[in-house]
This record gives sequence, structure tokens and C-alpha cells, in this order.
Amino acid sequence: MRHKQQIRGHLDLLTLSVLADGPLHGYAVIERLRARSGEVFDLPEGSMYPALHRLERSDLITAEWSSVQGRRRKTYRLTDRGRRALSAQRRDWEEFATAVRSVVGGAPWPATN
Amino acid sequence: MASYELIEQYVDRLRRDISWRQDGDAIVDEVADHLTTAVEHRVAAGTSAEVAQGEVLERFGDSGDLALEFATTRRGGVALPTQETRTAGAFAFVSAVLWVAATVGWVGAAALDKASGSWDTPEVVLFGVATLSLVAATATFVITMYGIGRRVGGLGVLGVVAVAIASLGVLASVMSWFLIGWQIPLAIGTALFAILVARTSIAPRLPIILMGSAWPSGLLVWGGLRLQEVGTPDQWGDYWIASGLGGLVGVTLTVAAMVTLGRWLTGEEAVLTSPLDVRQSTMQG
Repeated sequence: MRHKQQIRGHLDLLTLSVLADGPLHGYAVIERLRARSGEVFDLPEGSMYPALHRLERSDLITAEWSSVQGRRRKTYRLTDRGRRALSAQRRDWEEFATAVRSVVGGAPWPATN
Repeated sequence: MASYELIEQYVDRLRRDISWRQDGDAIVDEVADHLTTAVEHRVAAGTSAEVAQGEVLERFGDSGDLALEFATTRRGGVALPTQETRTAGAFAFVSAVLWVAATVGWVGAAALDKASGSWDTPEVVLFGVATLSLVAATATFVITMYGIGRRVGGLGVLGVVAVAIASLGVLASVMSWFLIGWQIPLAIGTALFAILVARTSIAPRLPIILMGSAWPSGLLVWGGLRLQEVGTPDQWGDYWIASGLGGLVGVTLTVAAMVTLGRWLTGEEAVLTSPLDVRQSTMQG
């Protein structure tokens, strides 16, 4: 499984980012994650559900049940609190990624003044 | 709708593995929808139903691993209902009864004192019963805190500190008349504990808020009324309206919290006696 540990470390950010596009059920979240990452993010699909439930308990996402072809389907959407958390996590991630790129790629840290 | 035998077998295993969760059926429905949708996509693309089911289940992961992942907290603890946490729930009910008994004892002693104008044997007996009830109530309250801590997968050093501070309240409750002596440590300990538990998002929120706010609220009421010097002091210089109302607020919120938390803890099916056993048995299985 490629990048398994890295994905787990950023699963909340990745999930919130995918849900920022609109409501999705669990399978669609995983498919969207895989497609948007160019098939790179490929984690055991079951792992997504504890993460989704944790985000739901934290009120970062909310869920609704519907019926599709005789099956119960749970669809998740981002809450206002989730949008704020996503913005904050994006800022943290960009700062971190820039720093890693600077070290690994040898580029200087961006001037702040 | 087509029937997929391997998927149904997996769903049955998951239902068993996750039966300890109150929302277990909802999780199973959600997973069943995922697996069936994934198989249908593959079948529609030309894969045989049997091969599609095998591929989908391999990608999804083992049902036992999934169940354990649902129980694993961000801190790495295992948050599962066990016989221990169920017992703590029973203690919560006992604690609620004892808080009520202590209150009845106090009110009875105070009423007799007011009626007779003296502090004689009946008043002393009632006050003694109230004090014993209070000590037992605070002790069972702290046992419940410990059980809640275990149920949410552990609260770390700060959790231990919170329970230790609340335990000071148990010791001080022997001097039941020294209200701030036992109410202040209880208020600080439970408020800190409630914040830590709320952050795990595992325990029901309302009773945890009630538990954490009960004694800080009681102290605020007591302090506010005491500063305003509402009522007249008794023969020991205590403002009984302030003490009584403050205590009533604290006891009412605590009893409401204990009953609700007791129902939560005892209402869950115990998985095994120890979370460590669960981790080991899952790893071995």
C-alpha cells in the first residue's frame, strides 16, 4: 500500500478537502480521493469509515441517510465548523509543505519581511 | 438487487465484531452499501461477481481490524465498553442515590434544628447519615470518573491529575460541614476531567457538561449569595440560604449527570474484560 502512513497522518485534511466539493457517501469519498491523487492515495478502504465517524462526532461534517436501490446510504457534507477547520489545516499544511520543500529541494525559506 | 454471498458473509462478521457499538447497525448498513456499490461498479465493467467481491473485500480490509480501528482513539488508547466500564455505570446510579440521601439528611437535620432550636441527638444522627452518604457519594462519583476515563480510552497524565484532585474532595467530604473544603477540589477535578472527556468526542456530551459544570455552578451560586449576605447566619455563622442553594444546584446537576452516564455505561454490551485483551485477541485473530 503506497504512502499508507503519510495518508493516515493527513486523513482528516484529505477527507475535509474532498468533501469541500460537495456532499458524498463513503465510497465516493474514497473514489474521489483516489482520482484526485492520480491513484497515489490508495489506503485500505475500510479505514475511511472510522475517520468519517470521528469527523462527524467532532461536528466537522454532518451526515444524512437516504435509500438507494433498497440500501441505506449515508451521505456526508462539510459543516461551517468543518470549513473553518479545513482552512486552518490547509494553512498549516502549506506552511509545513513549503518548509519540507525548502529543506529537501534546497530552496531558501520564503522571506517573511 | 443482486445477492453477493461473500459480501454478506463479511457483513455478518462485521456485525459480530462491532456489536459493542450502539451505532453498530448503522455502521454495518454503511459498509454494506459501500461494498455492494463497489462490486456493482466492477460487475458493470465486466468483472465476474465472484472476482469482483474478492477484489472489493481485499481493498476494504479485515472486519476485525476495522472494528479495532473504530475503538482506537487519537491518543492510541482503546475505547471499548468492558465489564469494568459497565460496573462503573452501576456505581454512577449508586452515586446518584447517595447524593440524594446526603441532601435529604442535610435538609432534615437543618429543618429539625430550626424547629427545635437546638442541636440534639436527632439532628446529630441525621447529619451523621448525611455525612456518611456524602463520603460514599463522592467516592462512587470518583469511581465513575475512573470508569469513564477507561471507556474513552484513557485521558493521560492530565486525566490522572483530574481524578486525583477530585479524590481530594472525597477525603475532605469527611468534614461535610466544611463546604468549600470538599466542593472546590471536586469542582476543579470534575471541570478538568469533563474538558478532557469532551475532547475525545466519545462520551455523550450533555451529561459530561452537566458533570463538569455541577460543582463550579454550585460554588458560584454559594459565593454570589454569600457575598450579598442573603439571609441570616445560623448559630455557626453559616449563611444557610447560600449553602443550601449552592449545594442544591451542585447536587441536582450531579445527579442528572450520574443517571445519564450510568445509563450510557451500563447500556453498552461489554466486549471483554480488558481493552488490552481485545487488542491482543484481535491481533492474534
